[in-house]
Amino acid sequence: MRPHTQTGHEIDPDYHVIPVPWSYNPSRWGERVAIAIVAGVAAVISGYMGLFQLGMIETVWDPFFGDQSMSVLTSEVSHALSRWFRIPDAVMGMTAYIADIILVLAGSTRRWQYRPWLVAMFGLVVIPLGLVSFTLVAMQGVVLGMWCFLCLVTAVLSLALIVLAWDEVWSSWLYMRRVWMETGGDLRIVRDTFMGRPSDVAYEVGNKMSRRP
Amino acid sequence: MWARVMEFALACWLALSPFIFRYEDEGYGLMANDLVCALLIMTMAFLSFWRPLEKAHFMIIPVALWLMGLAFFHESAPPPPPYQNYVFVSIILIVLAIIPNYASAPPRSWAEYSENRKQKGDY
Repeated sequence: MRPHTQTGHEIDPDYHVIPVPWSYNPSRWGERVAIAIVAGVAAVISGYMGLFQLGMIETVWDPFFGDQSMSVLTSEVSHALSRWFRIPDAVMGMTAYIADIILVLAGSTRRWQYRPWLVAMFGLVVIPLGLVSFTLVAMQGVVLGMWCFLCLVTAVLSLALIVLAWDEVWSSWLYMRRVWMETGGDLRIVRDTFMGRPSDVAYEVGNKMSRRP
Repeated sequence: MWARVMEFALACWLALSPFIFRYEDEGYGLMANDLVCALLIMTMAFLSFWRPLEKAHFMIIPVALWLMGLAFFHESAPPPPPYQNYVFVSIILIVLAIIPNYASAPPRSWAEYSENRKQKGDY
């Protein structure tokens, strides 16, 4: 048996299979590192706005809307969010992007099959939270009539993260659905598969829905 | 094991927090709380390196929930800086605590299973 270490699996073609409906492996390192970099940029920008909201810096850079940025970041909407989150909303945004980075970097290049729970957690943090943050930023512009350039940048980055992340989430979903159908809705096997425990059904479904590059 | 190392680093940050944020109004109780929580987190992260207790890192979740509870049950919203720090630290700790030890490798059970199937010539 191959030793269970960090070495070995990297060169094994079984860990680089291509799941339906893609022509590439959505769990490959290249794509996941790209997601981590985008999330990292968004985290730095949010952290910068967070420093302003915490009162650690005096102004916020904005090439287009001038002082509107600071008005948005100290608006009533922003204060309400800070009361709910217990930290300034930009700091909460930064925290979410850091969580994205952690969740995207964990798992093997076949994690869509071997750790669906991890892909699901990642999808939950990126997709609904990304949509919420995008809506919040758009709302600030529409409700307050003021815009904040860096907020808009993070909103666009959130959407980019959704686009980059969803292929892997979709493959994991298709895999879980096929396991569900093959077992006729056997909850125990479905749960085990979701939690990353092997079974004959999960093994066969995984092989059937993927091909070697 | 990178998640365990990061938990350890966050615990160090938590232990240093009384010297970074304003704790004067909170008294020694909160300082002691930070140090005890930091020690617990370090212990759990450290024990996870030992195979029989490799799942010890999950015990960081209750510690993180405790810290989060302190922030969310504080009378003022948003609460003073030490508590805001707890919100950030606890969320990141919970995300880290669910990351498996050998995160870049497939789960051990899957690695063994597919190896067995392949030995039977069953791919």
